[in-house]
Amino acid sequence: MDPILAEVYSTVLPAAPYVIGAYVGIWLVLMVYVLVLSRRAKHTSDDIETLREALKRREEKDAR
Amino acid sequence: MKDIRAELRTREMLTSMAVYALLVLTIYGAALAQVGDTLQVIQFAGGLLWALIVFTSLLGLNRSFSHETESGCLEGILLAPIDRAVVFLAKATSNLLFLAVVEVIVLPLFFLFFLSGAELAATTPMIALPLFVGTVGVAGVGTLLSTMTIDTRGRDVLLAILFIPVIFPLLYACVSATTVAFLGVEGTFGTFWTSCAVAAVYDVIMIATAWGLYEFVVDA
Amino acid sequence: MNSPSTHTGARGTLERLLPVALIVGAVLVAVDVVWTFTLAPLVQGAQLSEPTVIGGMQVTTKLLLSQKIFYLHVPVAVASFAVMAFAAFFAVRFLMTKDRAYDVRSKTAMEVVLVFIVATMISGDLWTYFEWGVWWVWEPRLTTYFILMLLVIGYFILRNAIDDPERRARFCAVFGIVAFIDAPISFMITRLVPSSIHPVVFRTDSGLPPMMLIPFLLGLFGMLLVAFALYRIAHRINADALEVEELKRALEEQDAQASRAAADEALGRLRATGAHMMAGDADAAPADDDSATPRHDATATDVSQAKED
Repeated sequence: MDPILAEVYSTVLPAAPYVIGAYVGIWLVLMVYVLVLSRRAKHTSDDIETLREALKRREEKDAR
Repeated sequence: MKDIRAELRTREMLTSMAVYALLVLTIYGAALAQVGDTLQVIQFAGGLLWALIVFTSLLGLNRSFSHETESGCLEGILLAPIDRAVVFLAKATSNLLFLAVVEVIVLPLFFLFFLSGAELAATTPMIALPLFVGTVGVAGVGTLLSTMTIDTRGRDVLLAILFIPVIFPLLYACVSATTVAFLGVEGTFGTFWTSCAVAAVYDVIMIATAWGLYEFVVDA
Repeated sequence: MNSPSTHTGARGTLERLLPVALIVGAVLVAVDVVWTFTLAPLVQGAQLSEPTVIGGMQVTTKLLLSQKIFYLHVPVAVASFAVMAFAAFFAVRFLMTKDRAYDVRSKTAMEVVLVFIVATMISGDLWTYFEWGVWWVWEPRLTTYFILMLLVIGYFILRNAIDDPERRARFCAVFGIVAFIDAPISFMITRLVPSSIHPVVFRTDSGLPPMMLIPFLLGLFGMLLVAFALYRIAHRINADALEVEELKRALEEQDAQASRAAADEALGRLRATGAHMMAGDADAAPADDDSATPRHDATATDVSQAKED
């Protein structure tokens, strides 16, 4: 490659990992949050299931 | 008013805070012991001084409240038909006076320990201004925050965690102004006045905020 | 699909728009990224030893790739502050109305703020390291952002430290407002107060040429939409979790009351039986099982046994 052009683009390759890292990092953080949220949602729906069953058991007991 | 009278009667808090400040100075001594004579202490004396003030204030703000919760004064005050915002003013003022007294004690000590060999500029007395503006801000913000943290787990740590980021802008401005005053270099005084002005703006905004928000915080 | 409680027509449409908003936001961000790497010109860096010609234009400086980080970094930072404004707004509304719904909204907004702040710090720090060769510099923007992060972390620590939900909500609202006011002040001060010893280096970002401006703006709006959509999703999840917690608590209380009532009843009947027996037999002392402290299941089953006897 023409040496001048090489100099022009000389910072590109070393910069690349950082740039990629930054973009990936942002995306990663967002995904982590989404994961946390989905875990919370699952926890909540598990709770709802337990409550529903407890309610059913109670209704059966009252019926007797 | 009550606070001041109570403090005048029992000097306990004042003495312990003065001792605490002395101990912080001792730590500074250990930290700077290896430094030798070539280092210009004046250049960061402003920062050191303000760090000292922040640490001592943190202690003082909490102690003044624990004193009250122990004797149940807080409920007594709340039962009286006073506007909550006035309670804020009273507490903040008493905190301010308290901190001022502590500073009066601590400043000469600071000079003694760290600046006796240094050539202080003639403009050094000007540090009174950033000291005043800064202490007012610390008292105002600190009163609001300590009222919030007083009943929580890990009370002192929590106060520090909340206090330091909030007070940071003020700290920055005051350190800048104090350093300029210590160094006394010609032509830097524009910085001094800018810093003080900015600190004053901080005070006005934050104290107004604290004043307005205080009633939500004091029903504890 | 409809959200519970009082949300009517307007809110309903907002909910339905939600997946659209998320997708549009994601698409915008994607366009921004792609454009960044294909069409947007590289930014100028250090001087070259001698000029050259590329694509018909004279080039006198090195061309930087690292500046591309800004296309996503700045929108994320701006979005974080925008959401924080909402958090503060909800906090104010909470203090005005004492409606718990606002506290959930404020807290959720703060969560989103934290996420975006972390994203900003990561991308910003990577850029700092590449550009300056150090991992940290006490530069106005970095410092302000660090303080902002500390404030938001402090918010969550405060939240964990208070148990009483009403007090917790109130204090966090107050701190949220304080934090929101403090952040711009911090920004202003670090810019306005020049250091007397070390001059502060300012980056003056002059106007961007259209090829760069458009992807930037797209990224900005896209990120804002993503933030908004994320917040809404998070809010729904948090609000549901809160309702379930309260339902659980209400049920436990009902249980406690029921078993207490049942135990009281059993005690009364035992006493009656005892009194009856005493009347008939002076010696016999009633076996008085003192279930004065009702423990839910044990006493409940005891009582049901007694009933069936």
